[in-house]
Amino acid sequence: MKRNVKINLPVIGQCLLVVVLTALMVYFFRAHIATGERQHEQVSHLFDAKSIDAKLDKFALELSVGSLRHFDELQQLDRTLQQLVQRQQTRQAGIEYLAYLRLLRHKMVLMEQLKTQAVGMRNGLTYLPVVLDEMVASNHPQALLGSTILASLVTSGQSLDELLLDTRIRTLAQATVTEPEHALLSRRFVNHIQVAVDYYRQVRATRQEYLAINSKEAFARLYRAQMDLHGAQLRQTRTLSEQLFGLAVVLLLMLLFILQRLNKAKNRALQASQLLHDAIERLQEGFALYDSEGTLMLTNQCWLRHYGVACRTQFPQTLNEWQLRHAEFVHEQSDTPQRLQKTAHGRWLQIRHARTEDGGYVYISVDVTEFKEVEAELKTAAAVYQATQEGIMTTNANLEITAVNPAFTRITGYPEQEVLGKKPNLLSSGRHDKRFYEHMWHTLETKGEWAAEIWNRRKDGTIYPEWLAISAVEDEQGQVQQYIAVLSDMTERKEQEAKIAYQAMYDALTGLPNRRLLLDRICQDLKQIERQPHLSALLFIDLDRFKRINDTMGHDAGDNLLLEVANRLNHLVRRTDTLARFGGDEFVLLLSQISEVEDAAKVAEKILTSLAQPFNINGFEVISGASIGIAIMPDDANEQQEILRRADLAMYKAKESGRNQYHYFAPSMQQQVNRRVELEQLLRKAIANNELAVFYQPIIELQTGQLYGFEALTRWPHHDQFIAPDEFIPVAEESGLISELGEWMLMRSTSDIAALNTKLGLDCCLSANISSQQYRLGFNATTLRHILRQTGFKPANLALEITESILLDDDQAILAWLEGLRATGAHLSIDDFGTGYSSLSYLRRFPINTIKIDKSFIHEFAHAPDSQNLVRAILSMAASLGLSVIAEGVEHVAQLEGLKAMECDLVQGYVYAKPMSLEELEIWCSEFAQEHTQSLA
Amino acid sequence: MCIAAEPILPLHSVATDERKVALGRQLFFDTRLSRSNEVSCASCHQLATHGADKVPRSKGVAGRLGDVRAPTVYNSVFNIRQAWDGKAIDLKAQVTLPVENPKEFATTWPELIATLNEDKSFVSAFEQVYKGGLSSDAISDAIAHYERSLITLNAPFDLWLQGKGPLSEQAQEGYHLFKYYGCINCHQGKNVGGNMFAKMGTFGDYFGDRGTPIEPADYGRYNVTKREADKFTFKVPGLRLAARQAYFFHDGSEQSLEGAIDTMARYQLGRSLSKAELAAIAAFLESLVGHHQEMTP
Repeated sequence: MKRNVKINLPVIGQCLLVVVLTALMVYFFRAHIATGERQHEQVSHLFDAKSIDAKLDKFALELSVGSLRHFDELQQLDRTLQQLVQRQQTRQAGIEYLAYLRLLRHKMVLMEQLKTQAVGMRNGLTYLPVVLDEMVASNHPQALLGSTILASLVTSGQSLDELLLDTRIRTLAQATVTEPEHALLSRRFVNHIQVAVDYYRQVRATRQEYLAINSKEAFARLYRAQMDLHGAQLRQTRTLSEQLFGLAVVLLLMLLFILQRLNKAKNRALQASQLLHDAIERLQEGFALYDSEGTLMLTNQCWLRHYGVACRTQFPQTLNEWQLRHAEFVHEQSDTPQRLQKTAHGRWLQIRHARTEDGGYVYISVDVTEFKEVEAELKTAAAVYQATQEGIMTTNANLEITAVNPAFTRITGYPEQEVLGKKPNLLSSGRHDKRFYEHMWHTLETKGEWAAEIWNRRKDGTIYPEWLAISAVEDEQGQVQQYIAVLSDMTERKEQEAKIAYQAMYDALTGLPNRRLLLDRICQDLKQIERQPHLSALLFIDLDRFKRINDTMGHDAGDNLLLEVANRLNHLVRRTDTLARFGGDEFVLLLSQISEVEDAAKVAEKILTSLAQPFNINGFEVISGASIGIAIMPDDANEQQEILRRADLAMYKAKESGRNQYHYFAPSMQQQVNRRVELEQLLRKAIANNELAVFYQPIIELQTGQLYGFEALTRWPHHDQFIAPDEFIPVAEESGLISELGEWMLMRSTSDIAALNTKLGLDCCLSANISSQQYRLGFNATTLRHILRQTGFKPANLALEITESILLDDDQAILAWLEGLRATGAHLSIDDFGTGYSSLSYLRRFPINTIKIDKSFIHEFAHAPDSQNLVRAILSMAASLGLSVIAEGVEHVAQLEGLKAMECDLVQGYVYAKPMSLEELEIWCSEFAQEHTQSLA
Repeated sequence: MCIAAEPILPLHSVATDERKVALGRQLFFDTRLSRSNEVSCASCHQLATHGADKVPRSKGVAGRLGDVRAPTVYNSVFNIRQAWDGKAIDLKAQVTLPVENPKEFATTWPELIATLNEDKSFVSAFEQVYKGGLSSDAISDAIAHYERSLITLNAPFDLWLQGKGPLSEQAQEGYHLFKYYGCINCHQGKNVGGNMFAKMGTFGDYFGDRGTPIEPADYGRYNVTKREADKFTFKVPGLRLAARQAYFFHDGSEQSLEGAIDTMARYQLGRSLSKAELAAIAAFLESLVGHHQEMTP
């Protein structure tokens, strides 16, 4: 592999310079130290030499005075000097020092001579006194002369008058002696003294020579030279130091310069690196760079995002790790040249890679998920194109067919090869005129699309309706490139639409027009009345017993009944009339354009007669009957909803006034309705404001005359009078307010009587009315228990009064409800017994404790023997069933007596007391107790 | 008696390197130092007796006689210079003299080293001690070191001087005379001489009286310094082992100790000594002989 090695000459130059400067610094520094060391050594040698010089002088002095006993130390000095000289030879020394050493060596040589000479002199002198003694002892004639010579030698020392001495010695030597012994002594004396003198002279000469050596001056010179040298060295050192400092400064500056350049280069590199990072980071593609070792060097966020990794550390750091953890990131991989990968989080990536110059790899990932999706969509589109039920046809801008799909062929009968290149007008049915097509092209040009129902011709010549949608496909310049037509065969759809339209207007069961069509017809009729005034009647027909039939015989029977009713009615109406099924068991007949109001009554009578006939339903004979309300248009109302409502009201009136009747709408009915609405609002307010009150009417045990209990009665004081319960209770029941009202009443009354019982020491019972509506509105044993627990009233003392009507339904649910209430301990009482469909069977089936004979029987008691019989029958029946009986509405003593004779248990009525407020009741109770005690007494 | 005040001092050993001493001893006895391997240092410096030869003139290579009598190597370290004329400044410098002297080893350093180089163990032994291995300098140094170790210690006189032993009255008398007559002027110091030069024949003409012609060696120190005054001047020999010598003076002309003392008294002191005085001085000299492991007691 070829590598570009760039030689950075300036950098190398700088480095070299730094190295050279550093080397110079080191050299100077070492030279500096070496100078110091040399100086120290030189001074040390200097003083060694000086020390030798001084010792030499000392020895010289000792030698001359003869006080040196041996020469070992001198010899030692000689050796020291030798060593100094030897050392001097091994190093460079100054001329002055060499001169000084030479001088010292000369001194040493002289010292050697001096030693020899001094010893010689001493050897001569040593013997002289001995010889002189011998001369004196032997009476030597020259003994005296000898003594003077010796004396002058000893006394005068070195300043000996040599000439005189010589003369004396010569005299002694030349004096003639006769004795041979004297001659020997003379010779010895003279000989020794001559040797001594001779050596003395040598010593003096040597000493003079020694002393002539001006070693002090030599040393001073040497010292001066040394000091000069030292000074020079100091100066040199200072110069060196200055140069060193200069060098250091230059070096420092150089280093700073280089550092700055490095810093700049580093910044540039950093900038370049950031630029690169930024550029890579801004790539829309993922990017990863591995070095030749396979280590991840660089990635961008896009790469990490592609593999669903939040930060780089979570991604494999090497190619090996990537291989190992491959499955963690890649779920699918295609072997196609595109190298597609499906990542763990469902993205499709296309991966490309290339080798880098240093043997690493660079990877680029492109997210092709959308392409894949588009591809999939295209596949889907193609499949849809092939499989759709819609015929698809494309043309070019010249309206030549370019493609059709199988559905097209199926709808039109033309195979693809027959239509390619042809114009779409081959499908034209000829039913649409020129304007139709002009409009079509105009719409296409302006909006780019057009859709409409169109008649086309199949290959086989048949004409069929189709829904045709055309889109113009434009290129970027807005030029139409092609048209795409989607066509669907509407033959079937048209049929279905017709069916749906019919279903929308007609009742599915009876085939009669439904409520919607009825309203439409009424509306049309009303419009016609406006244009052409006439009378029309609306008959609201409600089957009387449909619910019971439906409930007891099943919905199937109900449906059959309705079908039969529709059938019978259909035979009674004209073609111009509209008989509609309004809902459930309600039918409405619109008699359009009747001549007079009575015509409606005639039709109503016919209908009642017809429907009064028994029906055969599922093999059973069923009698239904109907109630009819009649409203006249436009007299009663000129608005469809209103006229319907009024007919309905009239129907209810008919129902109220006994079944199998018809009733015309009257304005009083509307007033009644208005009154009820008003009452409901007032009642709602009264309940909210706690305006209602509970009154209590005592119940007396007839046989003993004792107080048995009270019936609670709701009272509504309003503007200084009471609104009758007969009036507001139905309103409460219809509006649902009865639920709230009933519970409030129960709560209040149990609370009141519990307090009264406690206060007066009584154990009185309480009767309270429960409406059948309360059952429907959710009042149950749980509610009752809750109330009793709250008020602390004894359940056994409570009797809930229900009306007979609720038992008529004979429902299991009702039974369960009543049994639940009974289970709380409360008693159940039938109110107004005898007014309804009193039946023994339900008295047996339901958990009833008490029956309350309706006051109408008691009123007629005195003068209607039937009533007495009825009451007697009720009493005996109750006795046989173990039920107690309360007679209410007892107003006269005669009635009381009659009932007493019939052994009626309990009575309630004005004969004892009218309903009272709690306060009044309390007083009444006290008085009654008093009277009772008195009567007993 | 105070030692410091005495002109003679007891001998003491000097510092040496044991390894160098060992090498030096090997060399000292090695005849390979001489051409044709005839003689070694020890041939003429017979350590068992007194470190010198038993003949007036030693025989070198091929029986050639030396110019002067071989002096003792014992205590030579204390000499001011080596050789009679003080030619060598010290022991190390002295080694070259016999090696190159045609009358002694009669060889050259290169030859000598070439010969020794053949002995590998010898060479390696040298390399262990000397950085440069076998060389003239190393050989000289080793021999010098060995010679430094040749010091005769614990002489009766030394012990007496230090108050550690007795000395005969005769020897004491001898020491007194030695000092009284002036012998001590030259023969002083720890080696009893050896530390100065003196003229042979201060009183009387020694060489004239000798009866033999004057040879170049007789000029002594003059041969080194060329000073007229140094003619017939020789290094004063140390007298530590004088009592054991067979021959005396540089020319080996005297054969007896007392004769040598008498000659010295006549020519150096200009007097004559009685027999008793000679015997006393001889007894004194006898007491100067110390001990060394190489020397037979």
